[in-house]
Amino acid sequence: MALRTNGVFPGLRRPRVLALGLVVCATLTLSACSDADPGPQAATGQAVPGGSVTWAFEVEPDTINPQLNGQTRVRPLFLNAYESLLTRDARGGYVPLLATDYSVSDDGLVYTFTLRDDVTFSNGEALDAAAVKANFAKLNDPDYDSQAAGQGPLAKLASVDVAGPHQVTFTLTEPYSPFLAYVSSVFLVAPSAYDSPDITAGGPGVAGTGPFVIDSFTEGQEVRLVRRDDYDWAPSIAAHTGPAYLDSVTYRFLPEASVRLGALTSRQVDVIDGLGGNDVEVVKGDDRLEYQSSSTTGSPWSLYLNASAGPTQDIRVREALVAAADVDTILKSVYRGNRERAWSNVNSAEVALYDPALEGTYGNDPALANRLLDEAGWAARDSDGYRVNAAGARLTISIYTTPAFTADSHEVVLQALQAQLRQSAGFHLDIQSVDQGTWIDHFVAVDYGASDNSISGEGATALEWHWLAKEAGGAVNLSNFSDAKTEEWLAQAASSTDPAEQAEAYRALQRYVILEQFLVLPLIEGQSQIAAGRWVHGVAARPYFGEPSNLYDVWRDRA
Amino acid sequence: MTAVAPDDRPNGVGQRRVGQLRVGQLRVDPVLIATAAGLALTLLIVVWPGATGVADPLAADPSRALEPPSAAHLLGTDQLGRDVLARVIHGARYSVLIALAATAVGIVAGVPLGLLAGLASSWLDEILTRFLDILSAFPGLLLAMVLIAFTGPGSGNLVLALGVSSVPRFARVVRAQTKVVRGQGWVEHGVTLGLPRRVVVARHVLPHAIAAVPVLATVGLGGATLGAAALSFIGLGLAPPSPEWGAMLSEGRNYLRVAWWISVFPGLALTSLVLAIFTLGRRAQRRLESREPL
Amino acid sequence: MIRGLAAEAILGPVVSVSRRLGSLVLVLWGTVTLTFFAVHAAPGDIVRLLIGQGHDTPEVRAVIAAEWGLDRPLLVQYAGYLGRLLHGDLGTSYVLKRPVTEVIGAQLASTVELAVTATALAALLTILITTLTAGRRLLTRLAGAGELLLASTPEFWVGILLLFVFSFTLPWFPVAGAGDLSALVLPSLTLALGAVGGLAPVLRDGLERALEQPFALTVRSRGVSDLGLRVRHGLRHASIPTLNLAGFAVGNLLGGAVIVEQVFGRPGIGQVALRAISSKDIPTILGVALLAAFVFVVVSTVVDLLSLVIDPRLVGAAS
Repeated sequence: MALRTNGVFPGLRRPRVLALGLVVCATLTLSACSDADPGPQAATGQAVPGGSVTWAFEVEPDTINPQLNGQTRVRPLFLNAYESLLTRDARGGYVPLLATDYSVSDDGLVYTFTLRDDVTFSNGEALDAAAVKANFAKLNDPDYDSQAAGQGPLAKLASVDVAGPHQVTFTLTEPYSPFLAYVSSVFLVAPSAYDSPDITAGGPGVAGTGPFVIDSFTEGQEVRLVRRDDYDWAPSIAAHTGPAYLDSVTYRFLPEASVRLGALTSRQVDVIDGLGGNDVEVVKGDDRLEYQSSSTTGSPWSLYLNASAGPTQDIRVREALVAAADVDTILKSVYRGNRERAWSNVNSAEVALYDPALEGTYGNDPALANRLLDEAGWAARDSDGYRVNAAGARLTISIYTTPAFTADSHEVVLQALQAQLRQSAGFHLDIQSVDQGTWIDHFVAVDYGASDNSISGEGATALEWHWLAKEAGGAVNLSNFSDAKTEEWLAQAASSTDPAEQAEAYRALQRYVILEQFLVLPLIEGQSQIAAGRWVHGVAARPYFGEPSNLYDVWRDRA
Repeated sequence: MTAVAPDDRPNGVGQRRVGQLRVGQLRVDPVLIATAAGLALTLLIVVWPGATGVADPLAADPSRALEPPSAAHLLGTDQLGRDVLARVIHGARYSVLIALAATAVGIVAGVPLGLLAGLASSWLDEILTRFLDILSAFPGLLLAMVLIAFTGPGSGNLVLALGVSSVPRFARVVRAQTKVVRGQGWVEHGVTLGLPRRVVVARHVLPHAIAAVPVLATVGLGGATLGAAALSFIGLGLAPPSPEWGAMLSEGRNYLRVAWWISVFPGLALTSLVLAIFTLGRRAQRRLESREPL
Repeated sequence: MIRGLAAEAILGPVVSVSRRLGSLVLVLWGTVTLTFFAVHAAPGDIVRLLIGQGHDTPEVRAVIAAEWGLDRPLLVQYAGYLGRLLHGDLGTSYVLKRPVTEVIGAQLASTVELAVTATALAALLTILITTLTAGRRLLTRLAGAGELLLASTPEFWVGILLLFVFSFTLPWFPVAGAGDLSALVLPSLTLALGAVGGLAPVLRDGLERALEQPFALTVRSRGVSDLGLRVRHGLRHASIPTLNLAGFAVGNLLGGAVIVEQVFGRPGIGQVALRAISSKDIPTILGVALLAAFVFVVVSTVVDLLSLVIDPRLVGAAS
């Protein structure tokens, strides 16, 4: 897995003291289409235990080992069975989960976590300091995860030590502000899982501490989880304590949008994700259904232009491509107004890092695009209307997509962009859907013109992944671009302890890559869209992250 | 290709000779005329899609997406605001050319193989026949999928995959016919009269052995059209924005609730084309069988 | 297909049966050999090919080298491959890191369920349509047109239409999944309709010919009703060509399952095959292909043997 566009992301905020007992209504980040949304608090009043809920996923996980999976869209599944040291409240503050407390040394090098002493994995193993140490040792083992080991935050990790039965310390080689968010959000598994035959594909052999336990994984069909009756360590942001309400939860994989929606309207499933623009209207018009949308953190879905290969090496071609695009028109037609256009390289939910000054400053200028392309030597046109250079080569920008990472009608947006860029400026976007292996081959060989991507999790880490040099931890530096300026800003932000200083560095970076280097064309704001039957209560977005929450607080009407 | 085509029967089982339509008999057959006219029109569209005066099939106008059929867009617009009529018309080229090329591959490889098996000594015949058995043991669509797994998607590989899976059909029939012809007296006479073997084969055996090929090819064309659409449908065919009918159906089905016209028209076009081909094939077969001695 | 290999001379039933079984083994051996050489003839690094999009590590390479015996002569590798398959070992999926038999085995039931239901439905529909229409001019023409239409319509299109009408518009059947029997109706009907388009004309032809034969008159003169004649005598006479074609159709159901499972979001072998292609999982693809070929060959042989039972005159008949 070269690409891990899911989000376990370090952040800016480094509160020294945990905001213990802070209760935040999960619906703060959730805008339901109707005012009848009960919300978790309301739900607790009349919650009826029992029953099961089926959730139809657009994307099927390629593995259900939560530590190896990199697909943003299947994370809600993992949140049911696996937990991390800390979680976040709506304002981004850290909330105890498996750890009750943590501290960071003044030099920013030592992170100490105190664990709960009553937590067990679903196979009976105790969650203790040794188990945490075993997890991080494995994460840094290239044989286990060749892509993440020794990269990013793990590269900065000098040692993990057992300071007491329930106290674990992480020592860094140098101060690194995004570390807390990373380390506190890693899904922890029972150490015995690493010897289980299930470890690669995931499954019951990979025990976690969550309120549900993975019961079975049928490829092409579903993952089924059952309630864990002795679960008793719900975080304070949850609406209730003790075991979950539902007996079982099933995530069924239905890649076809029409089938998903049909399954919901005929009550075969209770919740669906991956709504097409037209589906949103159908859901809003059906009073048995509830539409939920929430802004997510991380980086928006964008097109990254390759600065080290193909025509986009020429900055004029990049500027022309960005200028030729009329993103608003495309989104309006594809999503019927149900999606926000992105302008920055982090989502607007990242209030601290988002730069509203970027809004409306670029794009939709075909005249500029055509002038730039004429100057850049792509003056002639071939019989199909595409620009060609003096040598007769077509202005082709290859884009490879792969189904495991394509969702939310993104392929339709790319096709619309393909048609638009051809008409407005004579670009030939060559979009090819390939298998993941081929995608990785192209990625490794830097053999593509542009690549689409988004990262969920946290904006600061997303920016590191997008703009650090690959060898320095830029796992998805799809533009293959890094210079003295970007390095400077990123280093400044990572080592700084002043949130304002960090934010300014990250904003300068975004302005530079978007307005000066034209390396990225931001397309769609991160947004989680789900539709749920009104017979299911308590379905909500996860505080701060905006992604769908687990089903711990969910219950359903009894038929 | 996964369905059983009407005349896609192993060893010609159950083919009844229908003698109503004799060659030379001047009876007007309206179905045949309509079919032939439709196919001729299709061919015209394939060769010269611009003649119909339709819009650019790739020209998108997102502000006019998902419009129902109207005077401006007779078959409506798709999710990107492209003209469905233009796409259906330009899509004919993909379906027809891929089917023709795949059938050509089947004939080019299958006929010599069948002829060789029919004429060869019994041990070589045995080997070749078994090879064909092996090849046809893989269901057509799966064989095509395996080939594409090895070679990757693309129109060339699509043609090859569909062509290879049709080889046994051609080879079998040609082999059987060759054997029948070979056993007839006049071929023996030719040999006894001292004509060189290859002359006998070329002048007497080949024409009779391949008599059934046009009919078989017609049916094969229909099957290949369906096969190509099926492979495109599951994403192993042509990449977007090619207006291939199977791919259009695949994309359009997600809009079935709000815009039925995106998928219904390419579906109708596909079914009509295959129907016309099969109808023609069936009539041609009846004529061939009614003319046959035996 | 086996018919083509039938003995030239008049042979006894035992020889005939054993000859058919012999060719069954031969064809199976051929399919296996074909896949083996396909892997070896493919351009590029064979290990890379077998890994697909799985992790390419020295450990995995060592496992593949051991499993395929890559350091040994080709003939030894081939013998090893045959030996493995004889033991029911289809190899390992390096993408899923599990034995292929396990990957397929987990999904087999769903596809078998679909194929069996579709076959039964196809047989039922075919017999129903033909007995009611054979020999009746207008009905035959109508049914014939319908059958041709069915044969000309791609399965995925039939599936989408059925889904739209009977699941979205009229909520009679569930949209997706493999839960209960009602979820089986539309997918198996889709598969069955495709087969009916090919089978019904053949059975009707046979039935019409049977009804024209002298025995039909005799039976009728004994006071047997028209329907009784058709069902009890006609169908039996017409069954052999249909049986042959049906064997062909059943063997091809696996191919159709790929499409139908995709349209209806049903788990099964077809989905396994599609996922294997999209992850370049060659061992799994070959496993599915071999299974399909195996089913096809076995079904053909069974059909041939059944034909012998129905009409013993076929024993030893030349092709």
